[in-house]
Amino acid sequence: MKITFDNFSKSYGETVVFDNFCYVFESGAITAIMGASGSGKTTLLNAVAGLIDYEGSITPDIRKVSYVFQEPRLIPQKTVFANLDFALSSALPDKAIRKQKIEAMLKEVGLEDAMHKYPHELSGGMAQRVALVRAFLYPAEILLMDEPFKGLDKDLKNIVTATFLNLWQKDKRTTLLVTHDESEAKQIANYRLVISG
Amino acid sequence: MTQQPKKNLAKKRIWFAISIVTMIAMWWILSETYFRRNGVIPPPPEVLRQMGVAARSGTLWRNVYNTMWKVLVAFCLSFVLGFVVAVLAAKREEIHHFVTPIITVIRAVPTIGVILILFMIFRRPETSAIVIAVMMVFPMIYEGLLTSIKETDVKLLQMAKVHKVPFRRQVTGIYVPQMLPYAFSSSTAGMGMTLKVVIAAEIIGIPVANTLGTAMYRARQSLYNFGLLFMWILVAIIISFLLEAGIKLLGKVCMPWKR
Repeated sequence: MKITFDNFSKSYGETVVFDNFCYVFESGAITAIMGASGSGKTTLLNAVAGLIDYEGSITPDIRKVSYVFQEPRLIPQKTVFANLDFALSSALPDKAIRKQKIEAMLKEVGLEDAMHKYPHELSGGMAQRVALVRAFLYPAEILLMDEPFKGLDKDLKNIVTATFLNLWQKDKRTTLLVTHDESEAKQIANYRLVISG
Repeated sequence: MTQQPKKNLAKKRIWFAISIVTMIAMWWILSETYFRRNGVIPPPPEVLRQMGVAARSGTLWRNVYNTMWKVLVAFCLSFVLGFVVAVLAAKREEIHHFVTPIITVIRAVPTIGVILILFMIFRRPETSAIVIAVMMVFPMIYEGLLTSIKETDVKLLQMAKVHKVPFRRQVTGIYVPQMLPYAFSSSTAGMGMTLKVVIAAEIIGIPVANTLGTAMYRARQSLYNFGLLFMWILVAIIISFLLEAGIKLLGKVCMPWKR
């Protein structure tokens, strides 16, 4: 699914972040969005996710997205399984199918032992992998990723990146990846969009 | 449970036991030394004897029952009222601004003064005891729950929005778990406060029914029967301990992630 920004404008108070921005994100490809802090990289993702208001248009109008945030955003009072179940509850109403899918995906990424653990019992890398699992379990054609590997040490980053690429190869969603890391963009992305502030 | 929390739990229990034994020892020593002559502080065996007598005659259970139903009704009303107003205040800022001065006034008013006024208004001691307890405990519950709602992680709500989780599920999945620790901690304090206020209202009100408060009042009337007075105070302390333990136990059941 292509994502088309047409005359997209967004301001925060007096600060204009985007003014008639136009761009087409290619279908089934990973586009790395790069740029200085405050240039509006996350704003683009939030606009696609429907988390902020904007002027102009983003097509398709009705879109299902999954989102990997900078931090895992797991509910601290729920186990890994319950977190995934919560996020999937509206998209997959059948409880048995949800359970089956969650168990299969956790097994696939080697997190089956963490299924009944609480977020505080997971390492940073494990928590972010759970967030990736949540994103890929959620039925969507668009995947938004906001610096998902930030703050991880080199080894953990390699593990989480490998998990992502493995999942993405099987489910090639149109992916918008915000990153500051040039080498990460080269390694993962098909396209690069550099936003100047 | 790993080794460290087990160790901490054992340490907590040991110090809890040491604290209880110290309090009883100090009570016993004071009763046998400084207060031996006037008997203001009776020794523990005498108090326990009196408690045995009251238990066998049924007075103990009747008084506890007559006080406890008021405590539970008042606490439940405070909780429901606190919850509803906290939700409304979190949703609408105008309600928060409206409620804040009312709570400040309730906090500033002397409890005894309010008890006396309420007795003149309601005449019925039971109603007055419940109303005054609600007035004193509601602000505590309200503020605890309002804080918990306001501190709900906006990032988690965004995550739920992206995944199109219905609001009803957001309430049970994000808001309620966030509120539970606050609800339990304010309930622990609130329950103790309710018991104290109800007993105070029973003492000050016209003592007709058999309650803990009236039993304390009568113990004082009957030539300062300190053994009896101490016994009823001890009963109130034991009830308070049991209520607190019950709430903590319920908290452990409802919040498995805290274990």
